[in-house]
Amino acid sequence: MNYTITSATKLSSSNLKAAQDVAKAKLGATGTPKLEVDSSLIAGIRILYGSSLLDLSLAARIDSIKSSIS
Amino acid sequence: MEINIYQILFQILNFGVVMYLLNRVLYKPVIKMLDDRAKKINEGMSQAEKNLKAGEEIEKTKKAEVSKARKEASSIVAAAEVDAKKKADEIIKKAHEKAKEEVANMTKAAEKEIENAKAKLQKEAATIAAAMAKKALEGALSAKEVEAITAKMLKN
Repeated sequence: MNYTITSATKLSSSNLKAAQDVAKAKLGATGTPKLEVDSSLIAGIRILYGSSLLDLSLAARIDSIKSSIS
Repeated sequence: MEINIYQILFQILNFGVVMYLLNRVLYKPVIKMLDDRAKKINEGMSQAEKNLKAGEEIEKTKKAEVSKARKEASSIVAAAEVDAKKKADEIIKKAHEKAKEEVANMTKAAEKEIENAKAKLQKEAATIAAAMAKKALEGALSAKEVEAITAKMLKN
């Protein structure tokens, strides 16, 4: 099954490798990912595999901090 | 002057007859009438005295009854005053308790409202802060900074 990696800017090769390793370790995703760019993430990545979503973006971190203090 | 014995005797007889007639026709009825009248007056006076005594007794009884009634009325009024004071005290006490309870409830409600407002404000502040942070960071970071942050987040 294909998966998608979304990042704020185009990923460097080292970060792409690291992202693929995380996708495999956390979601069990293998193969070549589809790459997308979304500046609203600010930094970090978001991995979508099937119905599973792993959000490691700075925007998600900010939302998480917001939830914890509100 | 010649004394006529017959005339004297006649006069004595005449006087006796007159006395008898007077006694028979006038004195006895008059005396009887006077006796009757005196008897009636005595009876009337006796009745009047009885009535007077009865009146005094009635007056005495009346005074005693009035005095007794006054004492009873006094006692009733005193008891009513005590009862009314007791009831008034109870009403005042209940009113104080109710007022205290209402103040406590209102304070509690106000505190809850303040807490809710604080929570809402905090939530709104967090939302605004998050939005401002996102807006400030989005596009403000260089490609190298984004890469560095991404690498760090992937390591974690």
